[in-house]
Amino acid sequence: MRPSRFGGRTCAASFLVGLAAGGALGALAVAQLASRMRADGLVKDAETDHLRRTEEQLLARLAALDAAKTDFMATVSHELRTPLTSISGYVELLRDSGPEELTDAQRRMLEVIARNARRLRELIEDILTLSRIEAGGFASEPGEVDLAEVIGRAVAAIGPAAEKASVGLHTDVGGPLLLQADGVQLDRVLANLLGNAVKFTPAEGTVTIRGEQAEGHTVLVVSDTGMGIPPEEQNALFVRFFRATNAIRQAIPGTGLGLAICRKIVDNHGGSIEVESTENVGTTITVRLPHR
Amino acid sequence: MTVVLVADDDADIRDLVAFKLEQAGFEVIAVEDGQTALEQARSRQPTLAVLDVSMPGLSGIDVCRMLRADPATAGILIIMLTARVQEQDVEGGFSAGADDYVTKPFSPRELVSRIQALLSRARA
Repeated sequence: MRPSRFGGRTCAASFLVGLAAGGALGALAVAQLASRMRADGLVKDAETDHLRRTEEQLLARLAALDAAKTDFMATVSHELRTPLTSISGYVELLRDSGPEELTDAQRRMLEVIARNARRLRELIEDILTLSRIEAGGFASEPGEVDLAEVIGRAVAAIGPAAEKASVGLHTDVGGPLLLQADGVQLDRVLANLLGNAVKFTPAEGTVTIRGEQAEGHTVLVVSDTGMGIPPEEQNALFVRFFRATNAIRQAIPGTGLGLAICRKIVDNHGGSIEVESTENVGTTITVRLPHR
Repeated sequence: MTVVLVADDDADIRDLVAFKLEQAGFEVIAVEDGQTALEQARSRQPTLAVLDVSMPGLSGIDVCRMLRADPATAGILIIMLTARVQEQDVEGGFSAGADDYVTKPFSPRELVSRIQALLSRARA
């Protein structure tokens, strides 16, 4: 065996492990890449057996790593909830105390603590959700779901927040939109998309939700007249923890995980999600889900 | 006065719940593990018990099941406190006989209103 060949392979293997450990590539993709390397004649027959063994070991290790990661995420989120319960609970008790008991400055400080405890809670929930979706795929047995009903529920849920922000909600949904899907996860997609649309749209703006059937697909379109996303950042929008600079500048709260969760769910359903946006004009997110 | 049993191994959360419930006018028995919760439930006969799911030794779910199995304590209303939100944990709590569950982090105010709702439903 030539040292150069060996060295090259080790390097490729650790590159793949690094990618997969980062959650960017599944074990399947590793196998596909390895067989493509073989097909391309990058590896000689004599080395194929060795490579296949290494590959199998790698796959087993990746699967174990992935399971450990998921388990770790679930445990961490669980462990974080307990201290967070005390922090937010005691802050609530303090904020509920009589008008004479606290100064205005103290109330403002408690407001900051409460806001940040809420933010931490949302982060924990989103991280847990994402790790579960990445691990197992579905939250419930996929079955027949009517997207029109999912949209109806989500619109009803976001109603009060939209009203408070003086953002108009318009729905344009044509009849029942049946597809095979995980209803719980679709609820999540809708909640995240509508939540974003309302959050990033200034007062007197509008959010439009459209649902329709089209060539073997069910299409969901959520458009807003909000702040938009700078063009150079639109590609990064679905990356975990990414937040657009204009959102950060205006101190609009968020975890940067909502769209990553949406994309993962849509991927699990074999669908696609696309964004079209112009800064200070608005954003349109289009989700296409196959009927299956 | 309505007696409420509170069982949680985390002292801060136990005190938080006890304080809020006393403020709301309940008489509170606060304990730190499942075994004591079971003993206190049997001897003091509270109207309602707030049980943390994950306690060392007897878990809240174990305690719930044992209270339900004993005719002397089967009528106690039970609210589970859980830091897990997986569907199977919630189902586990209900199948053990819990009347309601609250996930951590919870708002003490919300816990009180859930308790009051359960009590008024039970009285009706």
